[in-house]
Amino acid sequence: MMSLAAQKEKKIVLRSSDGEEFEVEVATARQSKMISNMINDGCVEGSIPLFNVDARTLAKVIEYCRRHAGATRILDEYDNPNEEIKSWDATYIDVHQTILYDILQAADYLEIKDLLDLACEQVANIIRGKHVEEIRNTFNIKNDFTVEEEKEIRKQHPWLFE
Amino acid sequence: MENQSPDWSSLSLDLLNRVSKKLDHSFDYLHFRSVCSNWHSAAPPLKFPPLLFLPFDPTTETIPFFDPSDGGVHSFPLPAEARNKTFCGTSHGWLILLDEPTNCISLLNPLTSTSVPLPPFTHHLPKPSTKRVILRIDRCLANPRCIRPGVPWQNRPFIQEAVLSSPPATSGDPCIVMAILQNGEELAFCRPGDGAWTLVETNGVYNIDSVAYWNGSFYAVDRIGRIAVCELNATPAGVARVSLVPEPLVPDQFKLLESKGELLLVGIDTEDDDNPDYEMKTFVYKADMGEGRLTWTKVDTMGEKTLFLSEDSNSGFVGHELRGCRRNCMYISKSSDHEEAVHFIRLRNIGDSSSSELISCRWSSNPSGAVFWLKPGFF
Repeated sequence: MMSLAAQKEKKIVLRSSDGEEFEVEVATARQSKMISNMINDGCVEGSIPLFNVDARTLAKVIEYCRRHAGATRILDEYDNPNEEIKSWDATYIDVHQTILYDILQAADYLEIKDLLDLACEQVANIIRGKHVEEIRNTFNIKNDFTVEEEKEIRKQHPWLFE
Repeated sequence: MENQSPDWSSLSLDLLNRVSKKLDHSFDYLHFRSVCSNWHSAAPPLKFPPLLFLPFDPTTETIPFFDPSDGGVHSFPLPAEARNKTFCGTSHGWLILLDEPTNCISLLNPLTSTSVPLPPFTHHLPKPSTKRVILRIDRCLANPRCIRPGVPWQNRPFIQEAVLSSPPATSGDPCIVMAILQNGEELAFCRPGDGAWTLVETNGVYNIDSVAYWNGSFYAVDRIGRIAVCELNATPAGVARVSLVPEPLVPDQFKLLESKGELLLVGIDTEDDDNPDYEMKTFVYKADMGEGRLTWTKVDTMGEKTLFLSEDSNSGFVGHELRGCRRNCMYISKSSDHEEAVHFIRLRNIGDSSSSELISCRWSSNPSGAVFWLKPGFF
């Protein structure tokens, strides 16, 4: 077992799907359960290829992991960590929908539970208070219900389509 | 590199399901399910609690309501058919409305805007059981102050509450509408399509607190705890006193609640106090009809069920395993005794008899005072 100090010094290289390499601290990489498992299994020699995450998304995800890997220290200093992190998270996730989509997929793939939760909450925030047609427009989703299905849904919730 | 627009419709069902679980408000959840077939598959149908419609100004275009599943206050567009009408009750997701200028009564489903006309209340009520009441109704109709929203309790609409035997059907047996009149002193009923309302001979049961339809009959409970069953096919239609409530003490209010074949009697003692820490007393009994005799069994736990009651209306519900709701609890809405346009929702734990204040709402508009639980037909 490595000492904490040794872990902190040790770096891991992550390679995005488009071939860019990112050197990150072990504590940052361990925010991902998937990578953490790989570290535990000792299969992190060289760089870790992440086939499903492009460089732009990976940079964004690393930003999150780095902030959250350091969160325990902030807890000691400020004695009120949640508000601080919460406000940082809110700013972090306030991104264009394309990036939000990529973060959501990457957090799921890399098994970063808190980030996945944050991204889902942000999607839910966009949905809240909108009517069906507004949601479709916002996310550029086509209505693919058959005429019969649509009729059935309209019968169940006619007010939805006002 | 050119950004491709992401395909939100084809997100994995697991991710979509995670997002849907964040949508606590029932409308948001139902909107989510209606976006496309993939989103529909990711969000299974859930049971949501009824919504508490809060006092509203009948001249405006929205009704505020409280959703227990997310604990928030939202608003709903008031159908054009309901504007400027006096609210007289709710049952099976329908509103009972009075149009004051014409004395026309109608049922309205606020979510579908479907309207069903009922016979008007005129002074030509058939077979009056009590002339006194007829005179009072006449006086009430002659005096527009009596049927104006927001007026003091003594001058509330002469239809105080109404209960439907079933939702109005387009075919099959017509529903029966039972109305509590004039501060609970009389009962009258009609079916859609009838020419007029029929008064029920109350045989000394008066100050009726609550009415429910159970096992093919309407039951009424009055202020001092007499429970009566209404014989609508008798001539004249009248009530037979069935029994006294089992609890010796008489609470501030009795409520009869029908749910899935069960009839519950709930007593609420609230005290004249806006203090949120006061000790609220409640009891629940369940009706049994054995060998033609009505008996009551005390209920100490409601298990996975949740009760919804309003001190200001007859509306109430019993729900089972509802999304976002505390189990074995009562949600009780109550107007402030001391301040106008202030409203509380209190949570009463049936298991440990503790109670707490959930929300308090304050309304600056000219509210109609109608506070009722409504379970939209689609839940």
